[in-house]
Amino acid sequence: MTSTGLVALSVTLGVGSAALSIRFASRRGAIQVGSWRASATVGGSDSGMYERAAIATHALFVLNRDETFYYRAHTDDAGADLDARCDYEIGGRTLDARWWSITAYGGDDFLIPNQERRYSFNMANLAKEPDGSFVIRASARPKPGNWLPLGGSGHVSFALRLYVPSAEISSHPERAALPSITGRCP
Amino acid sequence: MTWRRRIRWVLAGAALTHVVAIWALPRLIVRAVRHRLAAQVGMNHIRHAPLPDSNWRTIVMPSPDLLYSACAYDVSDRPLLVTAELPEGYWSVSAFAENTDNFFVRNDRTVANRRVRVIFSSQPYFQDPGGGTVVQVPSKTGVILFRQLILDRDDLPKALAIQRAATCAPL
Repeated sequence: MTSTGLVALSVTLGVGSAALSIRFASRRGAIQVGSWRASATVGGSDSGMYERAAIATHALFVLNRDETFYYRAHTDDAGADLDARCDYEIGGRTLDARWWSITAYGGDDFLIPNQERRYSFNMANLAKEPDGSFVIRASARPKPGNWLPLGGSGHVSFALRLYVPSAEISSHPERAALPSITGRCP
Repeated sequence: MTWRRRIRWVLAGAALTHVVAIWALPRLIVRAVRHRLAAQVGMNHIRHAPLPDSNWRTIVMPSPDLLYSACAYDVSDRPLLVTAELPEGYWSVSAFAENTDNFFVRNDRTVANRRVRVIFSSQPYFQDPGGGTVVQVPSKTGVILFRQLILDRDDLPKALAIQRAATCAPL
C-alpha cells in the first residue's frame, strides 16, 4: 500500500470511529430512569469532549442543568428501539418543574411532519385524569385522547424537557418519577 | 516499511484524526450556525424565528412550544448589548461559547426588576454605565439564544410583539 493509501486509511478509521463514538455518546447518559437517559453535565463547562460533540450534532444549544433538565428516550421500557411503525403509550404523572413537555422527533432530530401539526404535549395542553395521571398515545395512526402523531417509518425518539426543575430533580435527576414508555408493534 | 510498522502508523494516524474530529466538530457546527445567522441579519444582530414546526431545519431538536430568537456574536472589537422586555410566562436569554458550552442564562424570574440589560464583553473589568449585567465571555464568538414559552396559540400575537422588542447590538 502506498503512503497516500495509508493516510487515507488512517483518516477513514479516525473519522468513522469518531462518528460511532458521537452516536454512542448521544444515546447514553450517566443518568437512566426507565428508558429515559440524561447527562448531568450537558450544556455545562464540565462537559467532556465526546459530550460536546454529541450535543453539537444531536441537541445543539441545550441549557445547563439548573435551567433545564433534558431526558431523551430512544427505546421503550422493554429496551426495543423506538420505531415510527409502532404504537407507544407514555404514561405518568405531573412532573415537578416550572413547566415540562414531551416532544417526538424523527431520526434526523427534527419535528415529525403530520397533518395535525402536533409535535408535543406540555403540562398545559395535556388532558389529564382527575388524579393528575396522563397517557400520551404516540402513533402514526390516529388515537383517542392525547395523540402524538409519528411518521410512517424509521427511528423516532422522545425528549422530556423540565424547565426550571425542582431542587429535588436538579439534585437527584436519577430519582425523578418519569413516565413509562410501553410499545406495541404490528 | 514493514507491515507491522505500517499498521502502527495507520493506528496512530487514526487515533489523531479521531481526537481532532471530536474536538473540532462542535466548534465547526457552532461556527456554521453563526455564519448562517450573520448571513441573514449580520453579526451582532438578532434574528427572530417563527414557532418551530416540521419545516424547521435551523437547529436540531427545536421545542415546538418555544418562540426562538438568535444572535451570532463577535465581541473581538466591541462589547455586545442585549435588551429585552419580559412576558408573563417563561422566558430566558442564554449564551453559548464556540464549543457549545452554555455559559450564561437568565430567565424571567432571575432577572432583577423585570428589566433585561446584559453586556457581553471580552474584557475582564468592563463597567456598564447603564447598570446592566456584565458577562465576560469565554470565547470572543458564539451564539445568544432567546426562548419564550407559548402555552396558548391565542397568545402568539402578543408574544411576537415581545419577541420583536428584544435587541442585540454592538455597544
